[in-house]
Amino acid sequence: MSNETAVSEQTSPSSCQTDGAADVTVYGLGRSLVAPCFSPFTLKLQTYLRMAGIKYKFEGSLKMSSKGKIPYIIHKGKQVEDTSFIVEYLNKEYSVDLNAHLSLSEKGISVAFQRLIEENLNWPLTYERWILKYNNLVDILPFTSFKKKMFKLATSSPFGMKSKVQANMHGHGIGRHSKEDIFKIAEKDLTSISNFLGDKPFLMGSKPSQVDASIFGHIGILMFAATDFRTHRFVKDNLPNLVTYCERVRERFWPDWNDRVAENI
Amino acid sequence: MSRKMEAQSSGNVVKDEITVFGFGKSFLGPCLSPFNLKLQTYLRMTDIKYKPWFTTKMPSKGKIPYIEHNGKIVEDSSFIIQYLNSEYKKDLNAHLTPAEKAIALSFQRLVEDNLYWTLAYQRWLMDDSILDLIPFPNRFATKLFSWYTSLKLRPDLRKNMRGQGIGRHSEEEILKIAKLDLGAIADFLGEKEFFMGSQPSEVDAVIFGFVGLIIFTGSNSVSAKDVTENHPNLVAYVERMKQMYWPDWDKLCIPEGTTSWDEMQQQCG
Repeated sequence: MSNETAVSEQTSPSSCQTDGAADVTVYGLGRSLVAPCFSPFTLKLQTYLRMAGIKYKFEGSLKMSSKGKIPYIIHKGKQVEDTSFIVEYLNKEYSVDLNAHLSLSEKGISVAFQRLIEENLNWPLTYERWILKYNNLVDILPFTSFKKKMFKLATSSPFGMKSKVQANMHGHGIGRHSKEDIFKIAEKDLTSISNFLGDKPFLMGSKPSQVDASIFGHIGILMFAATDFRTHRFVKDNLPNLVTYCERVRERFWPDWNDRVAENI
Repeated sequence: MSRKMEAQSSGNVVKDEITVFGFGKSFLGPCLSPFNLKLQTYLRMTDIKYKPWFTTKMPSKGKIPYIEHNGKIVEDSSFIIQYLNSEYKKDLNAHLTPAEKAIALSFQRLVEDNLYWTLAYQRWLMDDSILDLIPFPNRFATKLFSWYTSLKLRPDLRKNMRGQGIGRHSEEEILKIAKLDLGAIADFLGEKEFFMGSQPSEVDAVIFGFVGLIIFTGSNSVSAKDVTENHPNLVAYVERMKQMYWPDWDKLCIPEGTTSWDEMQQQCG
């Protein structure tokens, strides 16, 4: 397997993340007890930065961007939102192209898989996190028991996160399906990713590419930070190549994973 | 809406006959909705006989199109296809490998969960040109529908888009997303006859449903112009699909100048 990556020789993946000053600051929901960040899109973004060899600092924050989204970045005083636009912006600023080795057809396929993950699979996983397994959510947060109580109160209030998720799912369309149908949709998507991945080390072949950040962002969180999910059990029991894929990506780009999770209070 | 535009029952249930309920035909095409065009294209690809029917009545999930088959209502175009594959023992994907089926599904997700919203935005939220497509029986009906669009349809669409996420972007960003998705479709299609190769498969119904609809009934939109100018292979593809599965396309359009409700209704059956 080729060792070529887009990471510059000076910046290994783990040393991309600094606690000191950096040109890029990533604002996300913060770390959990089991993952370096709580949200799949924040994990996608940080994985991309590590793949691209870009130094960054991660700040946990509850403050949303102007579009009401998290994560967002501040780069040299400028706010950039939405992970896809952030990646496009940083590709330009830092002359990065993680897809340089892909053919046109392969680039098309990688956009399609990114959409499958981020615009479809994202919803059943969000549903399981915020609705079905909502009561277990505080177990992975590094909060005092008082803060956990406040968190539960805030997120389950009429304007809280839980009802926002339900409204968003309805807007997307998936919220109109039954629980069983939502799981079927998730399982179909996960099986497809597994079938396309096959024996390949990375989604598009022997080298990592941009879409691996999207895949790892969501499925990495599922496998390492959501072990009580029904979808986690489905992947573990049926899609072993996805399990080894996540472990491979974590080893390569997150060897410091355990150092980056939050400490229990 | 006038009483005449209320839900049509399909009348006596004929055994094995499939009725596809949708929002009806336009001056430029046999249906207004891309999901409806996708479903009808699938039915033509699999040689399953069906009858399109106009309705404004929404089923339980609030999605159009839906079908009635032997007294049973099935909703959501993907679930309908799954159901009909089972009932009629059809499998347009039989020749695909598991990896190819995965690619096909990923493009279906790209089209239906992402591109769809950018096209709906262009169709309903950028200007009023959609109103020119729809055959209204008289000026009052046009006015009524225009109010309905402003007071209900557009706010609902904005709310759904906001929930889905794409609605938080600027117009420029939404159009950029559309361009990226259409580019991905064109790049993967290349010079192939059908989307996945030399044989048609289920995803062709999806691509034609959405890209075909915008090319043939929304040619002034930003995305239609983008495809026409930058992706000749995609234009040739939708023309091929139209010739193969919709040779009667022009006959099915409502003739220009039709305004009488009765004339229009006759053409719905």
